Amino acid sequence: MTPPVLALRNLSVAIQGGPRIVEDVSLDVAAGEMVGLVGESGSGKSMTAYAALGLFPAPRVRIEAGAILLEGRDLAMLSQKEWRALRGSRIGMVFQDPAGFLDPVLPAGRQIAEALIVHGDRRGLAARVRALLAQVDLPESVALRYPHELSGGQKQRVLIAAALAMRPVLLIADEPTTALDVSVQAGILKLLDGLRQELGLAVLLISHDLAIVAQTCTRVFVMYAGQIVESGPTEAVFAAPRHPYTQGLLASLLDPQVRSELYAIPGTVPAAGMSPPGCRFHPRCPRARADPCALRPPVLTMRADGRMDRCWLADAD
Amino acid sequence: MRRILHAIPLLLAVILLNYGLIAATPGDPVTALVGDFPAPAAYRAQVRHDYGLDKPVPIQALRYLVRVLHGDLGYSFANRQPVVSLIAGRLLATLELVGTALAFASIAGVLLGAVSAQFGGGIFDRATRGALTVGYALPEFWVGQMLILCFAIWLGWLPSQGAHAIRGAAGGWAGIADGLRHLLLPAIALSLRYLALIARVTRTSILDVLGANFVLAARARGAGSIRVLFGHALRNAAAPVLNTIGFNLGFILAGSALVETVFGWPGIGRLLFDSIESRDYPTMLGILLLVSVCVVGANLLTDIVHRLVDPRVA
Repeated sequence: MTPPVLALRNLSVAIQGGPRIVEDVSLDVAAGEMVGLVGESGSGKSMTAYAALGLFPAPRVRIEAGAILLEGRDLAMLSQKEWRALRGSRIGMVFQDPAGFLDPVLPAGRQIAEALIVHGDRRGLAARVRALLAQVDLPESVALRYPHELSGGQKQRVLIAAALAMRPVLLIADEPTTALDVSVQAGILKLLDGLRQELGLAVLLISHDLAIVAQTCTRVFVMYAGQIVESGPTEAVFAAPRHPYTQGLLASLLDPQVRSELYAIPGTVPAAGMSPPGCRFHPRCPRARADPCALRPPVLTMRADGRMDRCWLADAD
Repeated sequence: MRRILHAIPLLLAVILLNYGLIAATPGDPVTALVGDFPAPAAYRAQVRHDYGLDKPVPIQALRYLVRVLHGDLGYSFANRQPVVSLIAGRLLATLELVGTALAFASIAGVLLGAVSAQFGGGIFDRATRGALTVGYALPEFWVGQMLILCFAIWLGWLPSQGAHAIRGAAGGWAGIADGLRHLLLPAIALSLRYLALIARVTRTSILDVLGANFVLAARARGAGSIRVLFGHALRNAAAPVLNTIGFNLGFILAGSALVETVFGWPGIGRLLFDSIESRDYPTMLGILLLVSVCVVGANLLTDIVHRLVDPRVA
């Protein structure tokens, strides 16, 4: 059996000399599969994604424990130089705010070509940039345009083309549609899904938007306060969520068919290192009991149907 | 293009203002012309009338403006030649000194700032920052004298005065080598403060850019520190650095007055110093005008370069 393209095994990420912001996360993404990682901001989902790239947006954040397996090879102990060789070549990343993630003083084509240049693969550069633009449905003329001359959706397509330049096996998409107009979002999602099929890409989609995950991902992992709290096939999880946090997230979705009170989960995600004892979600949980929820932390448990959850009360249903 | 049109009225105003400033300084130009010995009042009045100094200052200023527009900067009695040819004779030496100092300060400053930013917070960065603060605080004339003391008097490696050897200018390569030997110390003395200033601005600006998301995106494509620095950070950090360089050209020109005096450099700065001593008003005005033109020109050039570097400035 071929190993999954990406497999995180008990991954923990911590601020140096400080609290863990990602704890004991395991997940995997197979070739040609799009997997969703959802949670509120501050849940650690983006940090999990950056860990898979060996790169963090904040200083002094380190991979503390666990393994990052890319096609079976553990990356957690790689040197910076070895990481650099993988970034942009085997692993591509697409970001949340396309405006900020494009260099404002370089034309789009130069940024698409960057991975090719960095990894020393300059053959037929111009033609390959044109082919990449075609692949993300942009006209060739975009190569000479500067970011400020492009629309939000075009910028995100340029970033996707840049991420795909070296034909990576894994694409990490961190909230790729959050900063875009709703009308543009669908186009970007469709493009990502098309590329997944066409190139056999493994895609890890990070999002706080359950609707997007429901449309595009076959499996979903739900994160809360640095931990996975529920996982399983998207359809099953969304049809019958087992963890109260997932239930709360789904209840806060707007349903145009039903006119009802807006629902919001009370409270906020605890900051890293400030998690309460017992279940990390219990202060916000409508069903929490004094025992065991507030006393002992639940473990991530696999149920009979293969789905997993981290809730004391889930098997009581 | 609009900026060029803006520069014209600015320069005209500067000419008038300079004239007003000189007219407001204590001291009578007639005394400077006639000399300090007692002269008949009628003769003084005649001189005053001949040079139009009996008219109100605004009228004098306008007449000066008209003459300047005809390319006439007046006559320097102290040097017994027209101001235009006087300045022209000294211009090359100053351009050589100021140009060298500015180029050295810019290139070394940007490199030092970039390296310092790259090792942000480390030993190198902290040492550099300390040295830059000291460098910025040292006045040019003192640095110049210390350099003369060390390299010309104690070590005897380099000449201390003038732009070339006194005993006949050597030709060819020997002449060029001789010129460079004379140029080295004054250029360093003049550039040190601006080198420190440019390095500090570069460092801050690059540190700002290194925190930007597009730098993270470049690193996600596998770019290393060197590529991030030269491929992305430097160009994005350029605007404040260019502004600092352009803005300080005027101060470097002013600083060259002191440095040229210390090193006996035959340039405009020394001429300005001498013309102030001898109350040579036409020469002072001419040099002020030249400096003003240079400052306005530098700002225009800064704008143009800024446009070339940053496509968002349309």
